[in-house]
Amino acid sequence: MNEPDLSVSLGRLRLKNPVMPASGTFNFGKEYAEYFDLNQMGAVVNKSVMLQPRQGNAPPRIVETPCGMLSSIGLPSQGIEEFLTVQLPFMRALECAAIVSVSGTSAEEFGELVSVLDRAGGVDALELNLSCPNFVDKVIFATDCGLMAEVLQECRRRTSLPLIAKLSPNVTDIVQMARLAEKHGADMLCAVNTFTGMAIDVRTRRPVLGTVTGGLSGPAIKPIVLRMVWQITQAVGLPVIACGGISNGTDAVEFLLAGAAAVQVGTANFINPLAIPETIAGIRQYMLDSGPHSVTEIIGAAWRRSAAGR
Amino acid sequence: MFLHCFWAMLITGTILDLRPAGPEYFVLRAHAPQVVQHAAPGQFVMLQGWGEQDPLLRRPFDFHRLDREAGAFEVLFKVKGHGTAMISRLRPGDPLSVLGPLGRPIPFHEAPKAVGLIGRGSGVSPMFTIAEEVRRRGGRSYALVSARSPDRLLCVDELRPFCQAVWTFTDDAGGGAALRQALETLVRDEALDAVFTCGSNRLASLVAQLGQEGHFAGYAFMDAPMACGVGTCKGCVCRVRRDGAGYRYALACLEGPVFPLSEVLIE
Ligand SMILES: Cc1cc2nc3c(=O)[nH]c(=O)nc-3n(C[C@H](O)[C@H](O)[C@H](O)COP(=O)(O)OP(=O)(O)OC[C@H]3O[C@@H](n4cnc5c(N)ncnc54)[C@H](O)[C@@H]3O)c2cc1C
Ligand SMILES: Cc1cc2nc3c(=O)[nH]c(=O)nc-3n(C[C@H](O)[C@H](O)[C@H](O)COP(=O)(O)O)c2cc1C
Ligand code: FES
Repeated sequence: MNEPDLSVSLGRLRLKNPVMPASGTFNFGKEYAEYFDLNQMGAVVNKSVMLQPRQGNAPPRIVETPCGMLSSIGLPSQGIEEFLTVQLPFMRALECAAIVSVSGTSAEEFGELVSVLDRAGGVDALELNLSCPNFVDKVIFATDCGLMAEVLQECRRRTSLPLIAKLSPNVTDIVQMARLAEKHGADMLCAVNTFTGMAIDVRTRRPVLGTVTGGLSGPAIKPIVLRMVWQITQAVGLPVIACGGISNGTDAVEFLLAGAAAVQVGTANFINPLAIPETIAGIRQYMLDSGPHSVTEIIGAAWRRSAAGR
Repeated sequence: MFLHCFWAMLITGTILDLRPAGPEYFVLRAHAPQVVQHAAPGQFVMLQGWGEQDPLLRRPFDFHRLDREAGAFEVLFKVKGHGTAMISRLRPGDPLSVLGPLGRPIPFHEAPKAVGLIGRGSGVSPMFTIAEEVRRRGGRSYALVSARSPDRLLCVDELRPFCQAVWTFTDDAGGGAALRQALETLVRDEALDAVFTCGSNRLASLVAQLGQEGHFAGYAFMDAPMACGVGTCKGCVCRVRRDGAGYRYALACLEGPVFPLSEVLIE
């Protein structure tokens, strides 16, 4: 039987398969290297790095919800200096694309990180975490058109590396935000970060999380993210990396059919350290069973079916 | 630089036995030789006894017993919510997904002379492997078992053969004050190297306080909510004193779950 071709191109970024970890659910790979060969992945993505070392939020930081979890980690970071000497060399040494996720508290901070990483070398793309819902001051860049445009312009000015804008689902119209990111220089979109939510302990009558609200992730959000990816990919020309509740090959194929060019596996890594290799194997099996030769041919295939009627 | 357990594995084990150990308490015995082979007292496992996505997360449990010859481990748990209720309904022969061993083994003194073990409720569970290890190294253990009521005093008979003495304390019989007194006497009369505590913040604070005055090293098993157990979610933090001033956040799944009471803040 013919081995299916799982490689995809996201603009200039070529990946040997469309599967990578979601930022913040994989550290930078080291912990999971004991469970599977990280070189199998399409790309590696680190936990968003900040310019300065930070401690992150006060506990409790996580709480489980039906088919999901709320988290408010608050971007603890080793800071960019240690990242360049410890984490980045590890990521670079892997035989897959190195996507560096960065986060800042202002456009200047984002810009500075982008400049440093542009000079560092060996970075294949930069993912801008514009959408962390858990900064103490609760600014989500990707929910404010002005702020998002400002950050993107600043970053675009400083690098020619492919820029991925990670969108927030906490908006009225995600397509509008996707268009805005396209207009201000993003090369790709990542959809999406976590949904702001909360939980209350009925016994203590207090919010469970130390920061009151947190971000919802996991299988619970998958249908909503699928709808968002479906809408964005039909409205915007940029490649979209889907992220939200993807736990296995079937989930991944669903997102590819909805128009995503690649997928990120997030919360699923926590439950199953083999979620990423199993997702890759699941896509391959789907291609062997029922797909065309190249995975690129199933990207967006569901729109065409939907347009053609039943 | 990188704190993590190099022997952790993800395997599908098999339930060998599941028996009630008191009201709401169960002991689960599972065959998981690859995990047991490298496991040490103070470490834990993340278990998943269901295939679907609800409950979503694995559940963390301390090792109660490590039986290397049989390739089996035991955990002692309390039915608290959905996850532990599901685990309590498993049957011998059922598969059990096991991630472990996780966390840092207890840094034992090479030749401990005497240690105190204080457990409340299911917090008695990890004391058994410690008592076993202390005896193997030629030391003596003294166990103080605490519970709300007499029927919740767990593992007392199991601990006896491995301990110099086992005392029990229940709330209905003024257990708090009595336990404090017993511990003070023990600290005074025996040259304790270390005291381990699990299952109660109140008892951990007591040990921390006595440790400051006395000459033993106090340790507490900390339980923070955990998603991954391996250091990637950054969810399981405890506050730990910093050398200079203030505190930092330490991941309980990597640096713990057992922390020196001279460092960790009991909140
Ligand atoms: C390192 C470690 C070792 C543990 N060892 C033991 C043990 O040996 N015996 C035992 O009885 N219990 C132990 N616990 C506590 C045990 O993990 C929880 O009681 C269990 O997860 C509850 O799950 P549930 O679905 O029944 O309860 P629910 O309340 O429905 O759980 C909801 C969520 O909260 C989390 N959670 C609830 N209580 C705790 C808790 N006390 N600590 C951490 N997370 C919690 C659950 O994991 C789950 O994600 C340990 C906890 C940790 C962190
Ligand atoms: C514990 C945790 C930490 C996260 N940290 C980051 C982060 O540092 N940067 C980021 O861009 N997204 C972060 N995210 C969001 C994820 O990358 C992802 O967008 C989200 O969890 C949805 O995907 P999932 O349902 O597959 O987890 C984090 C999510 C979780 C659950
Ligand atoms: S449980 Fe995820 S970092 Fe400790």
